[in-house]
Amino acid sequence: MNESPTLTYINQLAGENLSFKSKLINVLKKELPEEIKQYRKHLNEGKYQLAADDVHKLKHKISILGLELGYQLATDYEEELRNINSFNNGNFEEVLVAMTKFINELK
Amino acid sequence: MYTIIIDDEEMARAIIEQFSIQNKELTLNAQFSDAIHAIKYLNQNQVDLIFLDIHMPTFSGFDLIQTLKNPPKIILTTSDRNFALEAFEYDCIVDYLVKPISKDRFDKAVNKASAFSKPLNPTLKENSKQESNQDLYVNIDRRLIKINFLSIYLIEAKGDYILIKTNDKNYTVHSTLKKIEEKLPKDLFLKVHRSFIINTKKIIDIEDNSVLIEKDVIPVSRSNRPELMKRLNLL
Repeated sequence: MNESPTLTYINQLAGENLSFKSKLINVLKKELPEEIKQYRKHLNEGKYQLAADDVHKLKHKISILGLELGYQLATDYEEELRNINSFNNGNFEEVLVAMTKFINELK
Repeated sequence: MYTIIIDDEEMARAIIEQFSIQNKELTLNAQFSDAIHAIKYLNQNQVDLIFLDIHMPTFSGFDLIQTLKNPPKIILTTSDRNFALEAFEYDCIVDYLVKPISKDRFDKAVNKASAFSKPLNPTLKENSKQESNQDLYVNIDRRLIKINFLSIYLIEAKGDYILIKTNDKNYTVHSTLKKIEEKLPKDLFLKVHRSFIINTKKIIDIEDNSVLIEKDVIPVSRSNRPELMKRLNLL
């Protein structure tokens, strides 16, 4: 990956409101692993349309973490999955791993 | 405005909730992670505005709109940056927001919804109607782009495309002069040649069989010249 996740958007959004920032981070920590798990499950079961829906949903969190290249990749990959193709699976997996590592390190 | 949020993603709901709390026009009544529960709520409660995620599993935002007999104003939310707004086919949809949503953009959409909701006296209503008729939406690269009629000074036919020239920017759109002519205000625009429509208010000068608009010299065909002359306030 040529880019790293950031909290820039969340920081801008929350400003001085630390409880809101904390709420967003908690939601991120809770919801991202669930979404990733769901996506992997659908992909492993060969349910490509559902996996594409999962990627679509993940795009919001990819954007929230400031991953512009990751967003583009997800957009292309979602299209691939809708055409029953998972060529970019490995690249997309790298994005998911980077995001997971990043949120696990957040306090 | 009483409002609800419908989005299957908690993160999106949390952000819209926070923006709604900060916006004094809004009173957030409820939020739902799926459309079915929202429909049940809407059958028993009245709201003025819905923030509606388009892309939800099983029952999409558009499916929900179609089930509502008298839908309130709706602001769509989407993660798709290339979202093409066929959504404006629905009168109830006042705007759409691309996630991640910024506060400024959110407030702008709420203002738009608010303006739609306010009762208008007949004069204001007429003005508003005129105002809404001052824009044209063109489809470019799967995006619907708004162009104000007043900003257009020239439209030129280019094969299967038309070139719309405005004061700020030019737009190449897959359409015909005939199609766009039907959408343009007749008192403002005139076809002066089979390949050109001009905004008559933007004419700088006319010489023989040509007209100067901004920096473009446009031919005027003999058959269209009388109508052009009729439009001018001649001394």
